[in-house]
Amino acid sequence: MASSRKITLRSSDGESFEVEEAVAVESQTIKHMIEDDCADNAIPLPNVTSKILAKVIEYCKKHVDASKAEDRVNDEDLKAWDAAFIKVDQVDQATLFDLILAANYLNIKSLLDLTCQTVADMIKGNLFPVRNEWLNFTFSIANRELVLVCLTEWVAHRRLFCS
Amino acid sequence: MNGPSAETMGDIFTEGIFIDILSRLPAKSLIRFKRVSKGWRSLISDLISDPSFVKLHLQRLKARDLIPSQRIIIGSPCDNLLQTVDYETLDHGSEDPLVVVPHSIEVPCRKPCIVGSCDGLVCLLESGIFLICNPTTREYRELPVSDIPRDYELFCGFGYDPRSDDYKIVEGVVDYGNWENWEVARFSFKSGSWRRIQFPYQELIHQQVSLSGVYWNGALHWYVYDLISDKKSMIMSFDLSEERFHWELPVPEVDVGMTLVGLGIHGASLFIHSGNYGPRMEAWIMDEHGRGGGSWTKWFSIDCTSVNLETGVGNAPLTYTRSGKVVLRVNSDRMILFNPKNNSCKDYPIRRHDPFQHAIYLETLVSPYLGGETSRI
Repeated sequence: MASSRKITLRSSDGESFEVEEAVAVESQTIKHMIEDDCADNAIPLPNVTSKILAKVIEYCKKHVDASKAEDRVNDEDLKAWDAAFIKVDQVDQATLFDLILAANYLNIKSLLDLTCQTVADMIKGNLFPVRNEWLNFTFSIANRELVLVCLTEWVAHRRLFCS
Repeated sequence: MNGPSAETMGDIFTEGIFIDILSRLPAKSLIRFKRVSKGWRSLISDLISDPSFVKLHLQRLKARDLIPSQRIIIGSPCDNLLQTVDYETLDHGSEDPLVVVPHSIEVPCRKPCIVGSCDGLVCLLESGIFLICNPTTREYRELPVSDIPRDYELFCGFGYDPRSDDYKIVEGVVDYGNWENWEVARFSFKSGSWRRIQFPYQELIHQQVSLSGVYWNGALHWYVYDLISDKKSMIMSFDLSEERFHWELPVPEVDVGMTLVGLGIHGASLFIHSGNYGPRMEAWIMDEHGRGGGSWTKWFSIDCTSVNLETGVGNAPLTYTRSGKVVLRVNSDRMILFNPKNNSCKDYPIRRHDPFQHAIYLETLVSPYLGGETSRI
């Protein structure tokens, strides 16, 4: 078991979070920064706001605790915790998308799987008829970012599409 | 590599995440997306014709609960009506006639036999010609014919060889002029060609082999039985990686008067079932480690008289719903959901006139061309 070294993470809006190293290295990105010796002072995370970073830390802490021998949580319970963590009324859609971007930037595979699957489940079944004005954009290869934004809008307004 | 800069992040990973999300959606949903706009149609077409996206989509599908993506395709060599059934919705009290959707596939064959299904591809056979189709994407492909002379198709099967990442078809044929000599050939999708396989069980010529093989555990399985003498019946299997036959699975012991007639797939296991010539219809499941050490566990036992299941040749269990009900094919005109917990049955008419064959297939994006030649959609 690694020594409980504390790592400081700094969000884009300047807030500092002190976490145990074991929790911080759930993120492969942070793990590599620590290995590359960039972690003497606080690790800056310019792409992650404090609101999102707090949730990410909550997720990582739970998953690290769940695998500790003393507090061993079984798979079913952890899945239930994940479901509650990501539930739509706990997490609004903008936060959900920010969590996806953060999980991707910080390279936390299990969180990325959880958040992407959540979006996929929200899309599934809420399909057509879809009115074109909500997806009224010119799709171009350079503009894939626009597609993600419109997907958000569409998911947010999905009730309009149920006939 | 140093950490990516904030400015480039937006372009690089947004696309990757977007594709990640799309790869988790059901195949039917993705196909429906094509109708939204030209941009979506172009994106979805690109993804569907990209073999690595299709593979990712299939892997994700198989890692989840398969039942929501599973359908039954039914057809008969007596007519050209191929139908698909969303059997899970039968269990939700749906009286919706749309549950059985006549599925018109634009294929050159008119009265096909259903050979089998694997990874969402369904293999059909008519007059010695094999056709592979994906009922979800509606792609189809006619395969080249093997050069073995044949008058009669004895057995055939379709499955996937994980060792060579290849789909294969096996067929056993016989020529009337040479009835004592059964010939076997195997088609590989990767090579696009047939090759002869040695068939070691010439003593089978006096026994019955079930026509369509069941793909399980990397091998094709056929039930071999003798209706006349009391030779012990067996399950013959063909390993798709080694391309060899095995004679290894014994069948369960059954009560006098009960006859085992066929095989099927139950989740990740093989099942064997009896016909209902007698008062009961029963089925057994083989555990996953069938090779050499497997054993059979009883799946269900139906008292035919108490649930009004009349004797019939075509009666067979097909699959099961998430709530544990058994989906059965009865005669030619209906399906039944049997609940083993309370022995109740519910009928669903199918509106066909002839005994039908079936395959359980997954709704996937896998192309019959497997990323090879241009496909016809």
